[in-house]
Parts: sequence; C-alpha cells; structure tokens
Amino acid sequence: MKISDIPQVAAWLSVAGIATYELTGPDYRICLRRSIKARPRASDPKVDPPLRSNSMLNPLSSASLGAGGGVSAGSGQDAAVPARGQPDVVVSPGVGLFLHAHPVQETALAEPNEPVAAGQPVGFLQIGPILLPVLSPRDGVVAAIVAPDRSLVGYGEPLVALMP
Amino acid sequence: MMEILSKSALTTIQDRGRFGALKWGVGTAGAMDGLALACGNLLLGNGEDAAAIEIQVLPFEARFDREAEIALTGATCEATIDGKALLPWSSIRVAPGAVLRLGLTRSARWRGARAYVCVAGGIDVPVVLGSRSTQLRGGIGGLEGRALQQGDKLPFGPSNGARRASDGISIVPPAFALPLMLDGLPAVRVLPAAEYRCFKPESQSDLWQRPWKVTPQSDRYGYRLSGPVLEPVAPMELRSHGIVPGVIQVPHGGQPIVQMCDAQPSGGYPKIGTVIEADLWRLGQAPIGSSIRFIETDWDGALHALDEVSRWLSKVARCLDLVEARRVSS
Repeated sequence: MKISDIPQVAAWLSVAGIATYELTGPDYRICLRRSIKARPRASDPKVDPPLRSNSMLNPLSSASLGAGGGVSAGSGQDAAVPARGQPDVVVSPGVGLFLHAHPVQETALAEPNEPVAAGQPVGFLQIGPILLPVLSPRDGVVAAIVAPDRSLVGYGEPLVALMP
Repeated sequence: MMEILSKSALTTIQDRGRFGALKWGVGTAGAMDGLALACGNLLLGNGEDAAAIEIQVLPFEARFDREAEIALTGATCEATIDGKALLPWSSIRVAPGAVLRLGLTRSARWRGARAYVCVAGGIDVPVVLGSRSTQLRGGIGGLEGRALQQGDKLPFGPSNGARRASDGISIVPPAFALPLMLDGLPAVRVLPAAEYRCFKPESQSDLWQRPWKVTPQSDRYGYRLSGPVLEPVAPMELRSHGIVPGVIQVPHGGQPIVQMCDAQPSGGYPKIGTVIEADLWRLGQAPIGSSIRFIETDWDGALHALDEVSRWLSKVARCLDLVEARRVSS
C-alpha cells in the first residue's frame, strides 16, 4: 500500500457505500472514514460523495498488531437483511470469521431443522476482538448451516440457509 | 433502579478497586475479574470506574423498574431477560419491569467463577475512600458495606449516553483472547517473592512443576490451594508486614494461600511468590475444585503482561467504536 493508492481506495469505498475502512500492515495502519451526514444515496448520481480521509500512517510496534483490522461495510442492520432475491439465505454482514457458537458455549446457536424467529442470532461474525451477532431475517426453519464453523467469510457470503 | 429478587449469597457491588488506602490498613477490594468488569463497562460506554454487581452464586434474579441498558460478562451462565436468551459478554436494552435471570449452564466451553452485571451509568452507591467497592471485612463501600440481599434496591448513576455496543454485540472473552495455559491447565504468572529462596529446592521446583487445586476454602479474601507440601529450609518466624492481592503465603502446613481482592493489608507468613497483577483475573475466574499452574516470570515479564492487557482493552474499545460508527452511518 502506497500513499498514492489512497484516493483510489477512497473512490472504491464511496462506490461500495462503505463508511469506515481500516487496514493494518506490518508497519502501518490506515483508517479512512466517510462523513456520516454526507452519506450519498445510490439513487442520486449527481452527488459526489465527499470523503473525509483521515489517513494515518502510523508506525506501530509489531507487538501492538493484533489479528488484523476490521473492514466494515455500510449497509446497516445488514445481518437481518437477506441478499436480494435470496430471502432464504442469511448472508454475512461483513468480513470475518463465522462462528456457529459463542466461544464460551458448546451449543451452536442454530441447527438444521430447528425453528428460528426473526432477529434471533444464528451465529457470530468475529471481527478482531468483537463478535457481531448474525440475525435471522425472518421466522422460519433452518435448512442448513452453509458456512463451516470458524471459516473466513466475505461480505454478503451465504452463512445459513432457511427453508423456503 | 433494580431490585434483587433472589437470595443472592456472596453477591457484592464492586468497581475496579480502592487504591491508595492500604497505608491506613484498608484493602483494595474490587472486582475479582477486573477484565470482565472493564468489558461490561466498555460495552455500555461507562467510565472505567463504574461499579457493577459481582455474582458468585447462581441463580441470580433481579427486576428493573425502568428502561435500562445492561451488560453481562464473566462466568458463563444461562441468562435470560423475561425468558428470552441473553448472549454472553453482550449488552442489551431492557424494558421497565424486565426480569433478568442467571442460572447454571450445562453447556460451557469456559465456565469461570464470577459473573458481572453492569448497568449504563454504573451502580450508584456512595464513594468511600475513592471507590464504590464493597469491603466486607471493614463493612464499608457498596450497599451499607455488606453483601446484597433479597429486596435490595440499587440506584443507577446518570448514563452518559455514549453506549458503545448495540444489542447482542459481544466480545471474545479474555480467556480466549489472552489465553495462558500450561499442560492443559489455566496458568498464572508469578514473581518469586522475598522468602522464595528460604524454601527447599524441591519445594521451589514443585511450585512451578505441579498443579495446584483450588480448595473450597477459597473466596474473595484468598484462595487456599492444595498440592505438594512446600517446606522451608528452616522454620521461619516473621513480623507482620504489608501484603497485597496476589501474594502467595505459605503457612506452617505447607499449603499455599493466594491473597485475593479482599486480602487483609498485612500478614506474617513467609511469601514464596506473588501472582502478577495482570493475571489476577485468571485466578478470580478459577472455579473451586479446578486446578491451576504457576509460571515463573520476572519484573519485565509482569510489566509486559500488564501492557498486553491494556492494549487488548483499547483494541476492544476501538473495534466497538468502529462497529457502532458503521451502524449509525447506515
């Protein structure tokens, strides 16, 4: 990553509607944040999204580097929002490790053939030290847990399938 | 305000501790797992000095008389709000009249010994000598200096409105994020103390090589451990001197006692070691009947461990802010 790459990254973030971007490398950390109030609407192409890039290239001691930074995508209670056209699939709200159970618990949050209620957690997405609950978008019955336990998943990747 | 509904033996109000009063013979008290307390306060956006409820005996039950934001951390339990499951190490907004129940769990990969219920704004009891922690020995701090009882009503401080985590967002507990195990047992790092060299070489090596069992005579005052008998080279008689939580004393029977948060401020038993401050939370979560190991460390190792803990906590705070910034922006 070079400083000259930042405008390109910033442009990609605007297009993708990503609000916050963090990248930690061996000897640097970059954090880009878009102003929340000036969030662009996809339906309004005239608005050029102003991007406040607080880029910080901080030399960090290697000791302070943990399991990587989090990349957070913009769309909101996204855990509960199924991918368009696929209402029977719970998709990942971001990049991280998909966990079937909370680290302290043995039992998985969801099992095939078990009923789930709208808003009920069906797994966790681990981003660094944080666990985001992955929520069922609707009442239903779990068809399959698609993503393996502790697998690295990307934004929008199918995690849990619900019966139609 | 919350009302305690259960007969909650040994449940106390604790913050991070009462520091600077040892010179008057007042011990530190404070949460036995300071990291779990810190995590609960982070989830709620509380100041790091906010007080919470430390629960050692389940079941625990309490009712909230108004809307409140609460966080549950520490020991794994079966937790519900009005019958609905509450995720471990997470926060949630509860409705007026909601009842929180904590029970024993059958399914735990990590059990722990003490659960913490934190509330936005903290439990508001008078500050005594700089802390709200209950000090049972002196009968000060907390609610009237005593353990909580059925029917107690606890007021909350003003919430600063800066809650960091939305409902259900959880933290990878420190037992997993900062693991320290030796031969399959939880371990704590120990500095050899003043009388270490007065023990027989085989006793010195037993301290590091053998497992130590947490006996039922273990509480907030201290943990009595059982294992091989630790023998001094020659009998020792010491004058009473100042001691702090973490000090491992060896009385005449040769079975060590680790002083914990409610330790008395002075003692006269020989000290073979001191559990470092950064690892006291690990001991605070060691259940009675479990075994632990001691790992020898030095001054630099102890300071490094403390740095590691504070770095981890700031990383948790930063990531909670990131996740919340994203939620607000979308």
